Amino acid sequence: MQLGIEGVSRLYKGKVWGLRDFSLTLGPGVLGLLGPNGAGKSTLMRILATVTRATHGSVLWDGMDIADRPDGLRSVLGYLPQDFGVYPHLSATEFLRYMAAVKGMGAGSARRRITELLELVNLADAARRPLGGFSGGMRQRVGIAQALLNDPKLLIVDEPTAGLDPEERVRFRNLLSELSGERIVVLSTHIVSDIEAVATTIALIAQGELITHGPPEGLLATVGGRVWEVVVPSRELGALRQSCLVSHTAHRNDGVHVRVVAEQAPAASARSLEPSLEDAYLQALPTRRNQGGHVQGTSR
Amino acid sequence: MVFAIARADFLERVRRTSFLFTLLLAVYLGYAAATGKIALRLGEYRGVYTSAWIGTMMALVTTAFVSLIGFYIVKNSIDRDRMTGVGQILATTPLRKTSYALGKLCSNFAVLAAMVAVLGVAAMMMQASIAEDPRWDLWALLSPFLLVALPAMALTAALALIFETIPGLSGGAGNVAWFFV
Repeated sequence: MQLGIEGVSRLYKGKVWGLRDFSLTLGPGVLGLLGPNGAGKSTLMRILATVTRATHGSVLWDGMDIADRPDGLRSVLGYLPQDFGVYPHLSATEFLRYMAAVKGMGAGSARRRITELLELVNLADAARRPLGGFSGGMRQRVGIAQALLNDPKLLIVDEPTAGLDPEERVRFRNLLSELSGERIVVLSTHIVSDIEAVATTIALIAQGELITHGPPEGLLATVGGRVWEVVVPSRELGALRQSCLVSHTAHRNDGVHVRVVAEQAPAASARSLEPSLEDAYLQALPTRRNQGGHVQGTSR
Repeated sequence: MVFAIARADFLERVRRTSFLFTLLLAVYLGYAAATGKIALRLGEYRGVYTSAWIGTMMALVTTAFVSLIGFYIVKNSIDRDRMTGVGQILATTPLRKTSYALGKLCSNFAVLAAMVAVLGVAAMMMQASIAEDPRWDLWALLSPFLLVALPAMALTAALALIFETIPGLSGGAGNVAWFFV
């Protein structure tokens, strides 16, 4: 089971590149696709899910080009788009039965699977209620259930935790971890903590280009010994932001505790910290680094 | 697969308040016909309300009104999938375009046929209430619905789908064009 992305580019109207020369090879496990809004994550996801075609390059599923033979992938694909929509007057069961049918599942197996999945996403009690009355989080859970209906070998989830409350988010992360064993999961998000919890490989994307990819440890190593905490008065925070990459700030009684990513300690009083993925992510983003760390990276 | 598409689309539409209003309008048309507000006349003459005359009159009224109004009701099935985002999930499944189109066609037809069925019931009530000719001939009463109204609905359902798939006709221009068709 292998998904090969080979030099994929996508050009939109107005000659805007959504994705540029993106190459990556994926095997079983969870790929965390991390990048700021507008980085090209959804474009890549839509190409992988066969919704959109690449302008250049190819995507190979077990060696087969998905642009030429999309059905080979579609029969084993689960996709949760960022803007997941439903028929508001159908119940969760009716909607999932519909999705199961278009995925080619038989009525009996669909019924059993829907019951299992509604339990899994904690919607069994709301199974017969119209989807129009569901909260955003509940709808998202229906989206997760529909993506898992056919027990997919490739699961693509685009910003899946958007709209989920903290408890649901943890539940979803655990679910993704459990699912990742024998399948390829591509998880796109701009929330670093989601990636931190489940990803076996991370790909950073910005301005449509792959910045770096590898295991979380590899990414963390790029900021090893370069993360500091310094306490400064509020009035000095602006100056510090001008000179360093600030990844987090917290106001305390003794001043502002600033988490800084820098080659050298920003002050004599600075103490070294264990790096986090968020530090590595912010450090790797080219625009932010070039701007001298103007961005406060609290995506959590 | 075709049945599943048609079923989901049909249920989604008939549970909307707008469909209820349309049914109420259909019932009103039946009532108007039953009370003589809408009647087919040949100069100063009108037909005797036999089963055949009631069936024919109601089927013609149904065909004229439902094919006009019904077109606007069913001409949004593909657009709804686009607007709700359901379409992009369907695009990632092995679903064939022909199955999708057939499912939507069946759903369009089922919605229009439901309205015809309401007017068919209205025709029976008309026969029972007016009773100018007390003899019941169910075939004569209902065959105009089966042979005239339903084929017209099938045509309307298909044209609504075709209009939706042709870029120039999918929007307001198509709606205006249908009014004159």
